[in-house]
Formats: sequence, structure tokens, C-alpha cells
Amino acid sequence: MTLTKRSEPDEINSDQTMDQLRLFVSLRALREGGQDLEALATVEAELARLERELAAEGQNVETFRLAQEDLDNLFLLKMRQSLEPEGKIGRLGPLRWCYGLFRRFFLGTQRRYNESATYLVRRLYATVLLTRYHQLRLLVLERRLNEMETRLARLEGDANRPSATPSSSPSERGL
Amino acid sequence: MTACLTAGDAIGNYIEMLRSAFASRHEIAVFADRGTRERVFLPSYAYVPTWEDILWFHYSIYSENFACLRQRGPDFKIMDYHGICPPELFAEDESEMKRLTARALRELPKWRDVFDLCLVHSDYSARVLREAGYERIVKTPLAIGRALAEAEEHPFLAGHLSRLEYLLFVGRVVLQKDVLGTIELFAHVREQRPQLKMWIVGDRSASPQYQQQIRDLLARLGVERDVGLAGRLSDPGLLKPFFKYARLLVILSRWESFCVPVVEAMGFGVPTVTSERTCVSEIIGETGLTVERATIEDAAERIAALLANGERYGDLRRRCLERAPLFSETQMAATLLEVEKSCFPLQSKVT
Repeated sequence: MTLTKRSEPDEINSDQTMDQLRLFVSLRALREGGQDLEALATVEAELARLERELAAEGQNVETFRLAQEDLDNLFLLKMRQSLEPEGKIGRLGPLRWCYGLFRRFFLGTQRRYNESATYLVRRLYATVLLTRYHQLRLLVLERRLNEMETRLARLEGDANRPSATPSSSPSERGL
Repeated sequence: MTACLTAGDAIGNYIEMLRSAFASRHEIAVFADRGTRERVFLPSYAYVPTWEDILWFHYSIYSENFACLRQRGPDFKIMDYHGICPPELFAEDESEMKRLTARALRELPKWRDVFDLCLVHSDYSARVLREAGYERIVKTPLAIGRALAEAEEHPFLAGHLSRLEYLLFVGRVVLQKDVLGTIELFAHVREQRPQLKMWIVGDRSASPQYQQQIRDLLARLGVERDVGLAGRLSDPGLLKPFFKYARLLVILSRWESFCVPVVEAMGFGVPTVTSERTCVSEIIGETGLTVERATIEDAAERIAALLANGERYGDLRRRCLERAPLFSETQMAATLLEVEKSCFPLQSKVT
């Protein structure tokens, strides 16, 4: 193994590089079924950026995103593993005894159910975000392709058009 | 036999290395209580010992597979001691892990007559076992997997990471690894090197409470954009460029029994900065920098000075590359062959 040669980094470029890398690892994590909050947030931020870019070019796209409240519920689902009675009712002895019995026999099942449900819902949301990301990327790339085609057509048109006034030689211009 | 078999983590990789070290001479079956879908294994309860089996038992947190140890049985039993993290080093929301580690520690002396041989990976682990009353102990250091060393690095990651100057942390993002301290240290170094970045590579599924603390700290220090959280990277082609282009690996763990990322970084000529003096210091030898966790400003000063001193940094990198072959998979296979010749019973299958 040899020592790696590296170039001197520039701070602004390194920020952009970090953003690109962050998006790359986040997309990859979601694609592999990762449940990382940061990955979701990074892809959501990228969706928002792409939507702004398209809007600035006059192409309005429908935004899709879960509200923060819904997202919080989604991620709190896993933590809400207890059905323990609360408040005044929760202090009733017989009720606590019944809950204890229920907990002993069924809490494991309930926990596993909650975990599976949370996993599936998160996976579904991640898939929706990824699909949306690819749709928006496609739109952005299509716009760029259209622009390039227009420019190319214009350049070809310019090249094919015969010159209206043939250029005169320097000697003719008295130089 | 292990409690949990996960593709791409230190234990999962180690079991693959063991398999390739013994596959030519033994029939091998892997048993686990649970595992990821990428790995094929048999459930632990399906293990039936015979006189010609060797049970290679990976001893870490308490798990259902401890049931195999309750009877002496006719098989030859090897304890592969992974080390057990002290229960107090788990976050408050990891009560189950606290319970399992406490039980594994409590039961450690109980099995000394059950195991015929103990394998450890550091002097620290050997000391722990001796204190628990074990006698027949052999040390075999863990290795840098061939899969990582020979992987083809992802071109996008390689292209982008090679343009950055960054510190690297690799490991589970948990309290025991003191990731909060690592971020704090990075923020201090960054005051002197504004272009410096940091990448944290590792599983973040444990302790939501600790993950929240990390988010809060990043926001408080204003380094959210400078620290990348890559999650667990089980594909060696993705992990390789993170190691290869890092300036330093930072491991401020409060406890370790070996720490495989240290030797992996060493293989790429990346020096380690650590504050862990029992085990990581033993592994790195003279190839890294040992700092005090308590005086973080001073530690940051020393790191910044090292990064600024090209000659000293280059010297550490060369030392890393010179020391790395001690932890190669070939070296590990040779050590295991010696252990097999001197300690294994004749005619055996490895489990």
C-alpha cells in the first residue's frame, strides 16, 4: 500500500464536497433500507432544493413531504411500546394488576408488532422520498438537455447561415 | 457460535476470516441466536455436541446461546473472548444491553471449567480472564480483512473524499465510544484548521437518546455542515475510501477490548489519535498519538500541530504501514494454525 497523494483543500469547495458526499451516503442508506433520521432529512433538503431550482426556471412541481408532526409520530411509534394506564385510573390497584398480567404475556408481541409496523412505514416513506428524488432529478436533467439542444440548434443554425456581408481582407480595408 | 451475526461488522468479518482460515482442514458450521439476512447460519439451539466437535464460542454479551455451556458435553470448547463493555457505559435508554453485559460479566468465572481453551485478542483481555480464574489463554490479534484491503473503492467517494482534509471515526455510535467527545475535539481542532472536516462512519440504530445528544451538540458547536454521519457501511468498496483518504482516525472510547478500525486505518497508513490507554495504545504502539480526554484543548493543539508538521505526520504514516502486516489476515491464519497444532484435539469439526 502506498501513501495517498492529496491536494490542498479549499474551504468553500470542501463544504460543497461534504454536501455532495452527505447526499450520496443518505441516498445509499435509504436505498438499502436504512432508517436514519439524518439520511431522511438530507434527502428532504435536497428535494426542497430541486423544487426551488425547478420553480426558479418556471416549472412548478407539486411538493410532497410529510409534516414534521406526522414524521415525529412515525418515529415515536417505536418508542410508544407501553400501554401502561396513566393518571388517576392508572393508580387503581386492580387495573395495575391486570396490566401487569397483560404485560407479562403480551408486551413482547406488542413490541414486535410495533417494531415491524414502524419499519414498514419508514421503509415506505423512504421509498416515496427516493422515487420523488429521482423524478425531480429527471425533470432537472430534462430541462438541461432541452437547453443544450436549443443551444446546439442555434449554433448549428449560425454555422449553416451564409454570411450576409463577406468579410473584407485587411488590404481591402486599407490596412 | 455467536449471539448476533451481522454482515460487515467486526464480529461478522472476523467469523468470515475464521472460516477461511479453517475451511481447508475442517468442516465448519456457524450458529447464531440472531443475524442479518445476508449471512447464512443455523440457530444456536440446533447445536448438538459430539466428541469430534470443537465449539468455538464467541463470548460477549449474555445471550440464549449460553445454554450450550450449561453442560460440559463431549465437545472441545474454545472461548473466543470478545470482551464485555462495562454496563455503566451504556446510555440510559439501553437498559437491555446493560442487563445483558452485567449478566455476562457476572457469569464469566462460572464457565472456567467448561472451556478447554481461551482465545484473546489483547493483553487487556488476557488479564481480565486471568482475574476470572481462567488459565489456558492464547493471544491472537484480530486482523484487517482481505475484503477491505482488496476492495475496489467506489469512484465517486474516492474522488470526493480525496479532495477533503478530514478526521475519521469508525465504530458504533454509542456512549462507550464517546462520540460526543470526538466531535468536541474536532470542533477545537477546527478552530486552528478551518478547512478540516469530520466523518463518522458507523451504526446509529442504538440509543435514540444518544443520537439526539449528537444532533444537539453539532448544532450547539455550529459544525453541522462540517461533520458527516455516514451510518453503517457494510460494503468494503464504500468503507475503503473513507479510511484511505482520512488524515487521522480518532478513537476516544472509554473502553475497548481490541478496536478493529484502528488496525484497518493502520493498513491504509492512517495514524490513530486515542485517549484509551489500556487497549488501543497497545495496538497502535508508536504509530499514533495518545492524548488526554480531560484536557481537550491541549489534545486539539497537539492534533493541529501534528497535521501542520508534514515531516512528523509522514513519519507516523510510514510507521503505520510498517506495523500493519502484524495484523494481516495471513498473519492471523498462521497464528491460528500454530494454535491448532499445539492446542486442538485430533479429529475435529469447528462450530
